[in-house]
Amino acid sequence: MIEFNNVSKTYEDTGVRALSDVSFSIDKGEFVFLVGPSGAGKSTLSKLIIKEETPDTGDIRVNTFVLNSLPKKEIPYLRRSVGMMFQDFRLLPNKTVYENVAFAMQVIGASRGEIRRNVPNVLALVGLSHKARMKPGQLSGGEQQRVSLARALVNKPPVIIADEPTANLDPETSDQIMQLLDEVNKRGTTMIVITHVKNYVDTMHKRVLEFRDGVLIRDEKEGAYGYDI
Amino acid sequence: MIFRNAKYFFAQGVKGLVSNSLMTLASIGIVIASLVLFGVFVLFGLNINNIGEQIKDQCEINVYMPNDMSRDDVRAIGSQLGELEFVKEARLYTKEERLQNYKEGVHQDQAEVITTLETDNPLRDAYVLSLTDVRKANAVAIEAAKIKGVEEVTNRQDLIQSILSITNTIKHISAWLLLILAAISIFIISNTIKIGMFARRKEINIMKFVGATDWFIRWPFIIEGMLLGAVGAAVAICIVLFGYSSVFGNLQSFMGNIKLLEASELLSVIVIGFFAMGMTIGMAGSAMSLRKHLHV
Repeated sequence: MIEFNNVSKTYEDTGVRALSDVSFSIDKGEFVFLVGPSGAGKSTLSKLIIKEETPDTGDIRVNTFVLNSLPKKEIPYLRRSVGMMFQDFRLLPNKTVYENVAFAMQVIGASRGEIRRNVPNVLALVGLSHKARMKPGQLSGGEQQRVSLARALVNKPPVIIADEPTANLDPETSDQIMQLLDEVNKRGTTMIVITHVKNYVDTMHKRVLEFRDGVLIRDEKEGAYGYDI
Repeated sequence: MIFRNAKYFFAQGVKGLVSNSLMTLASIGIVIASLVLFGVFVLFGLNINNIGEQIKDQCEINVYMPNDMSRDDVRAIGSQLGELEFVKEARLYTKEERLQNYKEGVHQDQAEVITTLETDNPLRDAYVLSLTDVRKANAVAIEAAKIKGVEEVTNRQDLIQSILSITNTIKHISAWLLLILAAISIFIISNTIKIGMFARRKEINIMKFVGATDWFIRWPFIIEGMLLGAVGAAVAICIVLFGYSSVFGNLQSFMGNIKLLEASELLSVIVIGFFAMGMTIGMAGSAMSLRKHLHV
């Protein structure tokens, strides 16, 4: 599903080596935590997966896409197969919850009928059916992150990458979001979660990829957080 | 996909115009100013061109024979004139026919003059040469004058040359003016679109990571540019046609026999031309901005 072979990446403008000879593969349906201190290369890795960045060396495969030889015009189709969640939610403040989720379908050219069928389903899945007409500003942080998850899910991508999804949330809300991600994973979606929250990594017993200074230093099934924050 | 989303693109384009109203007005204003100024030159040019055509049609060479020449000799010269290069037709107007034409054009109260002329017709037999190429009028006139027996040759080549030269100058000025005004308009529109893109950068960013194609992101901005151009063109069309109609009467009365083009004759040229130009300028402004600032 996702395969990195000897991938290295150095940012030209800063000269920072973000990833160094990284190799791993993630199978369909896996739940993987990416851990490591800030600047370890986790976010670079997610950017490489959606081809926001290009590696200097090495091969990357995501679903059916071979990224090294992927033409520019195919990038949108790659991105449709990878749902993204961000710690700052990245919702459109002038659109309602429903519209924010529908927007993700609209921009890939989905028909009105498809939008009307899928959006309510996905809002029900994240428990926000009753707040469909509200604007993001009227929601709590946890609810906004649920909208973000709903938007990531609505096009039914086989993979979701959640970049520190609980960073701006209180512990109770964070628990709910992590449970939701686990539930989505159990329904078959491959889940990659970048996090600094030791507790979840330690208690959920999922696969852990640990990075330090751009190097993959640990790849452990049912692993724990493993380093002090 | 374009057609399925046409409504969305159009709505987003209109939204862009409305949400950025100050720059929208500035852009529409510059398109109007450019097209009106250009339109004035185009109308002037079209009319000069039209006047040129009318005079060209009248550009014939008159070849006069001596008053006492026999009709047979006149006809012999006529056949030589007809064989000259660039002569389409050599038509004889006998002095009797010319007098008749003159009488038809003379007012009744000058009957005395006519009676005198009828008694002793001073007019000469003349051939009127129509040409295959009016620019060769001088050369043909020289050749005609060389024919033995020809008394006088007249032509209006100088006037034609002046008209052609004015038409060409106006064409050149119009082309340069269009280029300069279009460049200014494109620059202003591209800035308007840039501001619109900046205001919607968050939305564009989300569109990118949920998998919108480049063209899905671009179309609303291109439509916004086209709408700016189209609205500007519509206003400019009204100003130019209304302005022209209101001065047409006065201008025509100065021109005598020469007919100016009526506003109704110019309608399709102005409407199609202005819309095409306005929308092209708008699209070019958008494209410039998208190329520079939207890295999708």
